[in-house]
Amino acid sequence: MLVGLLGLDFLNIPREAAQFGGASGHWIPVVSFGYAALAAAFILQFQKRFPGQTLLQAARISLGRPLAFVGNLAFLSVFFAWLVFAVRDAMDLVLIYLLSRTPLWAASTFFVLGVAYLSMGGLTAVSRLACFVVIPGAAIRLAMQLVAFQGVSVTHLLPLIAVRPVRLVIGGLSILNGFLPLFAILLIHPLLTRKERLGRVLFIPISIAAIIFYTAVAGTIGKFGTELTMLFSWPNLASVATVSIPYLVIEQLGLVFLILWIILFFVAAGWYVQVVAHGVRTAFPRIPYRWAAAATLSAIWAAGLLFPNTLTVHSAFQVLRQWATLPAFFYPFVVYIVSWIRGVKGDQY
Amino acid sequence: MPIHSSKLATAIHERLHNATDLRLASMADGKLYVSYIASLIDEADLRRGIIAPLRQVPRNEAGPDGIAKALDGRGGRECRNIDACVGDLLHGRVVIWAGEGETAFSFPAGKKAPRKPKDPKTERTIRGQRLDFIETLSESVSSIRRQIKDPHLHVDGLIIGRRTLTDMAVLYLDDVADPGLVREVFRRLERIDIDGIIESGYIEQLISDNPNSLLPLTQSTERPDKAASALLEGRVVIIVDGSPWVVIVPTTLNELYQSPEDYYFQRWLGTFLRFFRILGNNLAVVLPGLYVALVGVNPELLPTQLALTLAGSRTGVAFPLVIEVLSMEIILEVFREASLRLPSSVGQTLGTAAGIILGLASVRAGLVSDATLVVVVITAISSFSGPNYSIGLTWRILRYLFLFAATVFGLFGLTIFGLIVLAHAARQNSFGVSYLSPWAPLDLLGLRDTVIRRSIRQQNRAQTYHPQDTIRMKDGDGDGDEP
Repeated sequence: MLVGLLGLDFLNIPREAAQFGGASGHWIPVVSFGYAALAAAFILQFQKRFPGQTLLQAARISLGRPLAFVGNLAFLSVFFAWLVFAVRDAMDLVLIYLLSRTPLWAASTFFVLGVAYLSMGGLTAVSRLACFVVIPGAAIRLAMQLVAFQGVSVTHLLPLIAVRPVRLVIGGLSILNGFLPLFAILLIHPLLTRKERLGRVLFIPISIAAIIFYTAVAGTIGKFGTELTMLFSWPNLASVATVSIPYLVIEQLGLVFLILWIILFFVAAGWYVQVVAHGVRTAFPRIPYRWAAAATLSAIWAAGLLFPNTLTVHSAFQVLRQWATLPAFFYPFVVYIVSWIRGVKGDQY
Repeated sequence: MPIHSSKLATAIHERLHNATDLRLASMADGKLYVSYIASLIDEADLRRGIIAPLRQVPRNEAGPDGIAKALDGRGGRECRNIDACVGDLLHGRVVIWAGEGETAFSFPAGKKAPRKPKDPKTERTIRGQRLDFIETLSESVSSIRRQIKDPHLHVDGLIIGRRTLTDMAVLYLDDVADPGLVREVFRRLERIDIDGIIESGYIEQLISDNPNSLLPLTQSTERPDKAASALLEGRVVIIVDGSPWVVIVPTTLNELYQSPEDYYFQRWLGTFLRFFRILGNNLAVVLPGLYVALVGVNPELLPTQLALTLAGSRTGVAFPLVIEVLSMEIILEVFREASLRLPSSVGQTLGTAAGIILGLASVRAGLVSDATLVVVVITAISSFSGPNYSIGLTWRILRYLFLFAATVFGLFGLTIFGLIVLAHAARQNSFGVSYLSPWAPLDLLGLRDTVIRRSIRQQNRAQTYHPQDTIRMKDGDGDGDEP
């Protein structure tokens, strides 16, 4: 979960926070954490009502099969679209910073094949790899972002409340996409079968992620100011990249940070593909998991190559992240509320 | 086929096709017969332990009872038929029978020790035992028994191989090892139906969870102390007669970087050694790839001065960087293989001389750059830093794939390929234990014995192998810290 949160933030949260919160954008991750905590509490409640069942199964009980089919497809489509843009945006980032002479299709194919191998191993392989990278990944990322605080000017972060509070409330929603993996968990159920673990699985990762997001936003806005932060495509990376450590073999810290983020993104993408493939399998039970994963990845790879340029991808992805993901957050609420009104519950496990 | 004592000698000769090392002797004026295979037993021990007592048997008592009485306490057993007699002879036992009657006995005799235990060749340590396992099963078992004198130590025998009838022993501590693990080991061993087991490597491949994986999913060692400590962790040791390498299951990637020596020094000294071992191993795997990625594909990532120095050293080199590195690596592999077969008296000198002369000549001829030579030599030396030969071989192969990924995709390729290797490791299990344990799934107690060595005073065993008895040290430190 934590790897998912840290690998799928797209180093973009500072810009979205600056857009809504201005100099006080650093409060936006705090507000967003509040929403995420509410969402986690809701997932716990959802689990009580539909024990051991995925959202897609619960939707069938709550909304009835025809409506659930449409709703589930829409919910999965958001994740699928998200993955298409995510992989393409990450590849653009890689091509710009690391592989300026390599064609997009080559880098994308290599990456997608790697993710395919990981996701074909199933949830166990993905979780194990995530466990392997999570402690060093989170610790190094936090350390780097703290190091990037050098050069921060407090005046860029003042006044403490620079915009109307309602802007902070809306801004919190706009970066809630950083916590999207929280809802992806509803697509799979092995993690939901042990209720006593669910609190740990949900609350610890979102708390750590919120701290890292806060340092990212405060460090970036504090360093560049609101206007400049909004000009960068990947402001979080730009902020860390200003730090250099002389005599290190790779002296630009930004590149080490980028490699670290690629590692986190790779694992997170593997997890997402796995989750979406499970979702596809739940929606279409006749499709075996491996075929579902292969189809999902092929579609992600092909669709990612269709976009003409980085600018288009980046702008479209920003809109998708900021607003189009919100329905994905509200769909589980709809399923829950309808089931409550209708007085239906999930089967006991 | 029942035994007719008068015809037993002929029957044995026929079954063994008049083998030249088959011996038959008569005693007590032809009333007692002794048969054995001379190449399998220690004849001095036979004369002392079996022949001498039999000579004391009076002629009128030279029958089955006389044999049993004279050799009481020698571990004899009755051979119920000719097949059993022949089988016992082939296992290095002495078959004795009286000229009349239908009873034959077999007795164990001292076996020829192929050699004396000596300093392990591939798992050398500065501190610790100077003994390795030898090719005799009983000797190998006794070298573990000398360390663990616990009645809970089970030594269960098995014979595998239709033609080789290879003796094997499965060792475990019945109050520590997970019973499920022991059952699974026996299940996998008992389903092996093969004509022969020549070395323990056969067993490793036949019981592995994934024989096609490049990663070693079982651990082999030639050190008795390593095997003994594995037993104390709740693992199972398999010894194969004729092999100086014993197999330990289950294993994890973490185990393959641990040396017994780590625990013989104070905790932080052990940690220091382990840290550099892991560092050396990582260098051996990724250094050539990293060099090609940074110099050939992503030079912009290097500090300017370093990039210029490296570029300067390559001036006048005839080949592209990757060919340069690859050719040096291949030559080094050939050297390494050749040096294993060179006579030890000249091997080291010849290797050093050839390395220096060839290295200098290659640089002067413009075939390779100084920097490449440095990288290749560091890689070669680092590749010997790991204590496990099998994982070293794996990394040697993967190094070329890392090199290929780095050549095509630079630092990005190196990162993604590294993740693919890790993803592969994450998919592997060894007898139900995650290969990436204790990192994945996260075992906080087990994590105390990874890069940092655990404290000897740590109270509990790691949960990695699901031990029954979880307490290692009574009144030890619950948190595992040194006092």
